Amino acid sequence: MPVAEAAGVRLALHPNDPPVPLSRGSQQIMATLDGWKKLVAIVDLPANGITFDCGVTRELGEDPVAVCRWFGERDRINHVHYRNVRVRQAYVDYTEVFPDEGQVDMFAVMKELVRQKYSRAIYPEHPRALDADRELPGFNPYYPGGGGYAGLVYNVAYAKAMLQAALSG
Amino acid sequence: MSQKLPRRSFFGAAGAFALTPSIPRSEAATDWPPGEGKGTPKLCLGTGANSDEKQMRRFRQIGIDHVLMGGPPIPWQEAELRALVERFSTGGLAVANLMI
Repeated sequence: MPVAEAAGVRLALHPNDPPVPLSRGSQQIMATLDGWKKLVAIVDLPANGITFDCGVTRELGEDPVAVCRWFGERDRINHVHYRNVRVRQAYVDYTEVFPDEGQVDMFAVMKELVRQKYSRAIYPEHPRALDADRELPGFNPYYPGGGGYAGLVYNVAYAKAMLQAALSG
Repeated sequence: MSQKLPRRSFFGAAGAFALTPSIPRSEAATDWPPGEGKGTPKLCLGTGANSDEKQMRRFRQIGIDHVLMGGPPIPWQEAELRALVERFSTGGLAVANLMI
């Protein structure tokens, strides 16, 4: 980690998604918010950060804006995944949805990132499946999400609107 | 690589040419739209390391300037990474993230 820090490289560990405590017989270290916080405490350097995924944060039953603020104020958000979910029961029962129809306040998340002057990448990932893509011959869906280029354009346009609104506010 | 003006830039340039003489610009208009910059987040999309010009153009057309992808096999070699970054840079995209 000190070598990465000296070279200006930032590492970003993605949380478990789905956030299960056990996978293929192995305990998982990134399946709870406590686990995320423990990771960044192991080596106290900005190079040792996380991928902040606002969808997974909601899957845990946590407040994505508060969690974004906690890691951002410690300069530990080294990458962002920008996606939304509807959670019926934290950890175990949720559905991925289009970015504008989930429970995460995506505008509030974007405003928090802009407030922090976060300057690295935001990935509006997991495009949903749309017939415009699925009906194309030889369609090869993105994983996960099942979408194609039309779904991707939807996510990008939404994220771009959120970013422009946050930057202008 | 094609030297043609990207579609978004073309429409932007054409629109500016058509509108500037007849419509007075407000102060606010000169600052709009807010764009990505040094102190702002950058939207990115995932792609393959072997993306061709057609794939890169699809991203540029929707206003994406940054990409991420799976990195080459471990251990990474500096020359290999530099070549990857340079190839995407030539296509108008910055490699923002490589996944292990």
